[in-house]
Amino acid sequence: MIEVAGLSKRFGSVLAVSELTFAVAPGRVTGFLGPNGAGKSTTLRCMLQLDRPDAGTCTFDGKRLSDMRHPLREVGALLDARAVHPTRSARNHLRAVGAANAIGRARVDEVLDMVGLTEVAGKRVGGFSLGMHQRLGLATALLGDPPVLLFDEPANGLDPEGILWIRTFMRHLAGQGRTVLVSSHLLAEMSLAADDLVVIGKGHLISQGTVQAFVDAAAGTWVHVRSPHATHLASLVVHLRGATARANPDGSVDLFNTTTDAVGELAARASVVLHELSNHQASLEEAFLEATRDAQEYRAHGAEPAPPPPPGPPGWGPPPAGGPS
Amino acid sequence: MIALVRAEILKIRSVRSTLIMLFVVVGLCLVPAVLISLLVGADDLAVMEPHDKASVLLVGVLLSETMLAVLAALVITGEYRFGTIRTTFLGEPRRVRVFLAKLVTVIGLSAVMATVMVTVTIGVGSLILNARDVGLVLGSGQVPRLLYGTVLYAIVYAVIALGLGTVLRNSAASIVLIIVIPWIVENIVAGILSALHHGSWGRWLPFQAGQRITADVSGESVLGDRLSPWAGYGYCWLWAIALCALGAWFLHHRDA
Repeated sequence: MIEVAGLSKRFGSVLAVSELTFAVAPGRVTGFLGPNGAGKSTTLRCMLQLDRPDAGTCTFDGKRLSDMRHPLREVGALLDARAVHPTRSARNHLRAVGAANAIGRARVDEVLDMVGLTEVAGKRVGGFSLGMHQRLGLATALLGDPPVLLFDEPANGLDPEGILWIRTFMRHLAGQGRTVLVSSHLLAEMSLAADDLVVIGKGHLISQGTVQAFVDAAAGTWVHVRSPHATHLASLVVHLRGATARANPDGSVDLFNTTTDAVGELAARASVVLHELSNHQASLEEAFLEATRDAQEYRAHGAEPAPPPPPGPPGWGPPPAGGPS
Repeated sequence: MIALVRAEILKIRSVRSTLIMLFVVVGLCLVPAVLISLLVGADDLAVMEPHDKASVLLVGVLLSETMLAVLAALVITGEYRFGTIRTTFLGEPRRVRVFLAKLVTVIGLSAVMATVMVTVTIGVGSLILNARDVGLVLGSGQVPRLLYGTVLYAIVYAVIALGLGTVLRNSAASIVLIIVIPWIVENIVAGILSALHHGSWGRWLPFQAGQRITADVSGESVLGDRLSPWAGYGYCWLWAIALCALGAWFLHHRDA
């Protein structure tokens, strides 16, 4: 069980994390989601007392990290798998880390075996691939057999096989009753790996709950129309039916608060030729973009398709740059 | 605390470059001693005071002490360079304890290494000199203080390096400063001071003061321009303690 309460962290004039409060339950994989720059890593570092938060607390099973006699036995973390001295062997790295918490050689060999690094345990870490680094990082986190585990972007830079391995491992750890918090900006990955989600944007909590609840709350349906006269059709729908429309850069139009039946009938009455008329259900990806739309720290203006607008008063949504207006 | 010190020793032992450095440390001070004891003319050696003779044998120690100080700085800056400091703090969030463990390790390591290098250097040097019948009398005059003083200076030098490294968190900057300040900067400052007829102020330069512990003071008047061996050494420790305190304070308050 992880409890974060009122966590805030400021870097100069930038408020990286703002009064963040959430809880992470044991026995489940919880995805910690947010766009790049949302403050995920800062939050994790503050939780682990690596960064000094300006306000707020974080407890693991009711205890603060600095009150633990052997913290590695209660909280394991994988922040940066590359953070290993390159000329040290994998075994010696683990032994040095373990020594500080009175963790012996036997456990070191055990975790090396668990992540499949036994054969290269005596080799210099500098020659390791990224996948092997991730395995060593995982071994470091598991060294104290802790009931709470935190992973920062564990799938970053891994090949599909490595991603599958990490995902299976996380599910396995949660299955043993451990509390597992995994940060990621990859939604598709989280939808497969996580049971619960904590979503943040610009350092603020956006949503917390199960993956399904997040999709249901943030997602919507819309009608996609391709037509030589799409703009004309959209203006008819908008004015007659109280729907909202958004023009896409490719000339097609997305219509909200309406149905394919209504649009089809209207098109027939107005003698507008349709090339496509389809119903769309927002995916987890779109739900995420929708939820964090105002919170994206860095985004390419006009280069990406705009996410669906929130339900609002009838009228044209903000057109993307370069699109028809 | 013992567990933390064990972890620090493991970190030093498990990196090949530091092990090589430790061998180089001993080699650096042994080679000049062997060359000098073999090559300097017997007549020249015969007229030398025991303290001078021992000092000449220990000339390579200056370099070894510097290497030990570099190693001490790397004990903390290396962790920042490779990002392992975070892993270290995850194992012990009370960072001042981590610093104290590093301090104990650095003091122990420099004490052991300096003792080994002084013993080996003087041992081999006197063997050769004895064979040439111009033997070194170790018990005479201020020679004992020269020998243990060399070890004591190596310790305070290494502690200053650790403190500086903790404040700066950067390997390159720490190494450059820890070499340049005692061997270059202090000499330049002393030169400027004496050109301004304030040469006696030079006694407050930390490293020059610290090195007084190895000085032959038999020829100096009591009210000289220089600090006594123990006053100078103690004064040098004030700098070491101040730097370590500053480093520990930074370590506790800064983001890792």
